[in-house]
Amino acid sequence: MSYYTQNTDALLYIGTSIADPLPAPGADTFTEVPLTQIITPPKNTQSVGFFNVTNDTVKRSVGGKLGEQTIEGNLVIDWTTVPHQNMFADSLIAGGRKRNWRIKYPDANDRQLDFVAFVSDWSEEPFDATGDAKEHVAAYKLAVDGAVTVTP
Amino acid sequence: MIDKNIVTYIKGLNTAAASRVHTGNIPQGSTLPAIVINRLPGTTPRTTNNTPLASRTPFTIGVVANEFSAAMPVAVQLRGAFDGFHGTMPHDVAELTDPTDTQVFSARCTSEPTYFDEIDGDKTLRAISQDFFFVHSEI
Repeated sequence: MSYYTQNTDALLYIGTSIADPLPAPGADTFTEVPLTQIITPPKNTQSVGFFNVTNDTVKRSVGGKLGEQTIEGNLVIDWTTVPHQNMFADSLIAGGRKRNWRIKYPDANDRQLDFVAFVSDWSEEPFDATGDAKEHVAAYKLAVDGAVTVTP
Repeated sequence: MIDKNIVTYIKGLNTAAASRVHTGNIPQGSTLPAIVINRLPGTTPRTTNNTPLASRTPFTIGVVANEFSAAMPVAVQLRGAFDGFHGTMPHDVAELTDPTDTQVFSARCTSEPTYFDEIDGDKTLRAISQDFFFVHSEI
């Protein structure tokens, strides 16, 4: 049995280097982003072109390139942690600050995704006194630059 | 543990129940009024890193007395103390097995006082029950 569950032990890592060009993931140092509640892996969606021919009524389609890929999620903010500080700071840099990022899956084979991305969105939820206390959460979005490498 | 710290906190309120604050049940033959605390099912959400976040725990806090008129002032005092409370709920300094403060992020009264009678042997007791919802650190 090799299936796994989605609610725990999926981890997001942020690379230390901000060099240009970035080092390969194997040469970078990664830090786990703490207190993540949701990590949405990038989706693989190709652009599709449809066309008709005069010979029949059957629709044809051709595949295009992979669409834009993003990693979206949210985390419980802890301003004492360097990854959260860096994600907030990166989101303010015009043009985007690219880093190596990594997602580790909770499966038995330690599947992982490596990619270059920048924080394109950091949205903190409002302070809200209308209900019970809850942790202050930020939604983040990472815009992937280039290909996602899957290991193993 | 918040249960013990609520007991300690209530004892510090100097209600008419004094230190007669119990978890679960009030011992038979206790002097009244007395206060009883019951923890109801709650949750502690976790992150994908498996880190526990704040616990969400409802409690029922009852005041038992011989007359409603004796129970009501204590219930009102409890409601005033817990509805809107947030801050540190310190542990009992004499408690050596669980010397942990509880950080309460919010507490509110979720139900108005409910009156009921309780039969204890040949005696009828009067009780007022209130529900509170705590969001708190849990050790």
